[in-house]
Amino acid sequence: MTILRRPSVAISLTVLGLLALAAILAPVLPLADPLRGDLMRSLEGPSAQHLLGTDTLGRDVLSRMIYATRVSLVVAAGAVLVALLIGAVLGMLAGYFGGKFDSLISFITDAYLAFPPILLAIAILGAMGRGTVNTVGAIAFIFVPRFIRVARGAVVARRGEVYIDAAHVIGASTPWIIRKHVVPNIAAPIIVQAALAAGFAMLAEASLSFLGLGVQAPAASWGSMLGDASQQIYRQPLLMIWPGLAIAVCVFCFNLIGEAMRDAMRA
Amino acid sequence: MTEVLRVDRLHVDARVGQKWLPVVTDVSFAVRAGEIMGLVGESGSGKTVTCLSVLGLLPRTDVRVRTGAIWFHDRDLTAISRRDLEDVRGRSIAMIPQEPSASLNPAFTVGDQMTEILRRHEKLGRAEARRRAVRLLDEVGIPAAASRLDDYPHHFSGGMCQRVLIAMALACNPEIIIADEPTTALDVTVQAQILSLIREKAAAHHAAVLLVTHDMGVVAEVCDRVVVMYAGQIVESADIVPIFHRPRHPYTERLLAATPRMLQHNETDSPGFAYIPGSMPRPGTYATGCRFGPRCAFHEERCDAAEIPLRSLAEGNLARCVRTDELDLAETRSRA
Amino acid sequence: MLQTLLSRLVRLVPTLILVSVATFSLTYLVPGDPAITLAGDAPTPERIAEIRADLGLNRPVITQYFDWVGGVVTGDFGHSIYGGADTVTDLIVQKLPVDISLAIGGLLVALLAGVPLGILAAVRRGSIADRVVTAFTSVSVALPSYWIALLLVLLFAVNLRWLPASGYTPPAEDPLAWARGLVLPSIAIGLAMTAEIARQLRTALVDVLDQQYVRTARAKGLRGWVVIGKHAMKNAAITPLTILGLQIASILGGAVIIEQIFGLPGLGQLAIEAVLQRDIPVIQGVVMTAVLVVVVCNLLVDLSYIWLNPRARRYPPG
Repeated sequence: MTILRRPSVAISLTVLGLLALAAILAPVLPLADPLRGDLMRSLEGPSAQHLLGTDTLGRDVLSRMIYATRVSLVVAAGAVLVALLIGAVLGMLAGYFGGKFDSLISFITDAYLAFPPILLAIAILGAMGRGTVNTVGAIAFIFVPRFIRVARGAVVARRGEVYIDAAHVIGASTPWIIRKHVVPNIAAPIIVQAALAAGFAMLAEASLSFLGLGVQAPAASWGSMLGDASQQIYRQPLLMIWPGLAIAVCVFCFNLIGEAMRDAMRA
Repeated sequence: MTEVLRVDRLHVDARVGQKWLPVVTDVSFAVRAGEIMGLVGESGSGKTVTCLSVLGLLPRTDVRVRTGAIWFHDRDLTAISRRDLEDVRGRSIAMIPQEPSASLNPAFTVGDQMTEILRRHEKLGRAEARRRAVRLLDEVGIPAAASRLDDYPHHFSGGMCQRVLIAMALACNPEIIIADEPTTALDVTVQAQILSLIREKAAAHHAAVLLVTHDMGVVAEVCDRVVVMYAGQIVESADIVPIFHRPRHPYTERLLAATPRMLQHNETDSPGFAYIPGSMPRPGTYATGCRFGPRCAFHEERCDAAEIPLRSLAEGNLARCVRTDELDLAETRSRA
Repeated sequence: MLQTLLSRLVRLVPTLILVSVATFSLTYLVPGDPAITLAGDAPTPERIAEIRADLGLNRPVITQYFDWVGGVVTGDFGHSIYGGADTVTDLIVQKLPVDISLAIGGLLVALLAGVPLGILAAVRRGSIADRVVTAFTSVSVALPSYWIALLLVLLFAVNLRWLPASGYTPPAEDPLAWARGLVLPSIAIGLAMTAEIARQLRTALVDVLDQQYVRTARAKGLRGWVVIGKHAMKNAAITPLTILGLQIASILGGAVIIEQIFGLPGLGQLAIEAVLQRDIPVIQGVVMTAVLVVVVCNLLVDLSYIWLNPRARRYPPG
């Protein structure tokens, strides 16, 4: 836990914490209604009334940004969580039982990685339809192989360890062994991978929403806001700075945390 | 005899964390044309830093020459430009490194690495360089040299790699070859061959040799003169025969006692060897007065009084010991 | 070398088969009957039946699969659902040069910028230059490439008007316009690669520069740039190269968005249109093409790895 003292990690956690807090508290904060806009005042720059200006439909950008925090964070976190659960379980089982099951999983994972991830997500959304929920699913789908790899690797590394054999000898059941011995050991690398994946998941969601395939109106994520802003690049160039900045900062923080954890684990 | 290389009151500092600590203190010696000079000491004695400083091969962020000079003919190698230094390296002053297998680039053929040095300094064309390379490999005893040119270093054993490196050192007929523990990483059986190869070829190419080692046995094999270093200083300097018969510094004596004898071909195990209790002090932790004092069997209070100078003795050698005239270390040796 | 190539190709086959199955099954991811979806609003039963017959959806799945795969192997991806004279293959072939141009552009940017930065950071390890480069790489990786693209457009196209904001001219038509149109997109796409290359190269080079053989090279009197450029680089380039190869897949994804922003008529645009229109054959065609590209790139990377690292060769000479 000493990594928490590292300035980069401390700052990142603070930033992310503040964002999460803002997202949770959004309804009670004194913000303009993110869905209602004054068409007479569209595409304005920052002013006292609208700190970050207004968008095409005259809606307050700051308020939309804060509400979008919810979507962006939840989708990214959700996708990572789903991918983690599926991937970790599959990877763990593959590593623990070995044999044909393992070969099959490994083979599928390798084939998986031949697909360009964004393209795959786009194809999935194309087939299943757009929207926030499908986006979470598509992004989770992309990240599953990473978690399988990490979990499997961690288990395989310890497969020969004595305490697992000892547990067998005293008659412990397989599920119990897995729960008590295997899971704690893969927890650390999985968490590191989750932190690293969170950043990419956020970028993925932003990309998909930017293209109009992810989060759909009236809901907004930073990615979709960036997509809207890109249409207005000639009329109100400032619009695209805020969502892009938010995404970059968030991803950067996730990466810093993930890398710090990874370095700590290696030491 | 002319001097090829003269180290003149060299002081070198190394960076440890944020501080710069002295690792070589007031080292002076000269290497004469055609001779083989041994630079002996345990690891940490400063011998490697000294020899690498000659060619400026230490990273400047971590090691720097505080004062002193290294004279090669009339040029101070610590003061010349980088380009000039690059011209000197490999051509006038060559080096045989310590770990042969690690010292050859695994991504290039041996032939490539040999012709490279020839084309750099002697401006040979490719074909001519290859021919010379084959002759050199032949000279150092690599069988079927011509076909080996296109092999990669990992196809060669440690001893063979060292032969290749010796060939590279000889390639441009340098005036002096610095051999940095050339046999330490090799099997005992190969060590003797390599040493005699170095001696033979250096003589054939009229090159002097500065041989850095921790093993007095190696010194006994090939050196003409010896300089013994301890904790960054020279503690004794003498010709080969006197130093073995009667060392004038307690540390030298202990080094001699600690030397494992090289196996003759019908011996099966080496005799046990004495070791020196304690360990060499690290830079920055030197005692006042004699740095060897804490480990010396002949230590007295006056040894700690002041910095001990390197004194010229009657027989022409040098020793840094206040008690050197009183002690008869030859006798001690025979009792050990 | 040849044996390695063949063995790699053979190992690819099962993977490609699996990939083709997955791609093919995209059709069936669509909830409900694909024909109904394709029939659009107010579908009549006749229309649905017509579509089914057209697409061969009334045949067993396996037959459909083999039909499709048979086509793929001969380069025929079928037709777009929406008709049109061009086959899917035609469409892909038309758009491919755009992506190739973009890929080359991005790669050039990445190499021209990334390699020197990596070398600089490694050679001057610990200095300000090193720290600046490291900070730059860390930040770059977090930046969405399309955000950078937008910023670039804003600066260079809108404000300074040096470069076009969008559009593509085929090189045959006007090479200068082609090049100008590619500058901004290449930078946008190349930036992430630059950061990766610089970072990986720095790490590898720092390690290599500490090796004995580098010191030996210096001791031979070789010039500084030869030591780094020849001796160090050949060993240090291995890791960044393999990483870069593996990154091709994600680069392709980013390309999709870059094409959108800069109005480049490439495969990405094709894919998005197809997705918006649920044009399954086109989606399948694009995905398979992309996978093939990734696979070929990885193969090339594998082979170059063996060239760079003689110790990895399985059939040594002599």
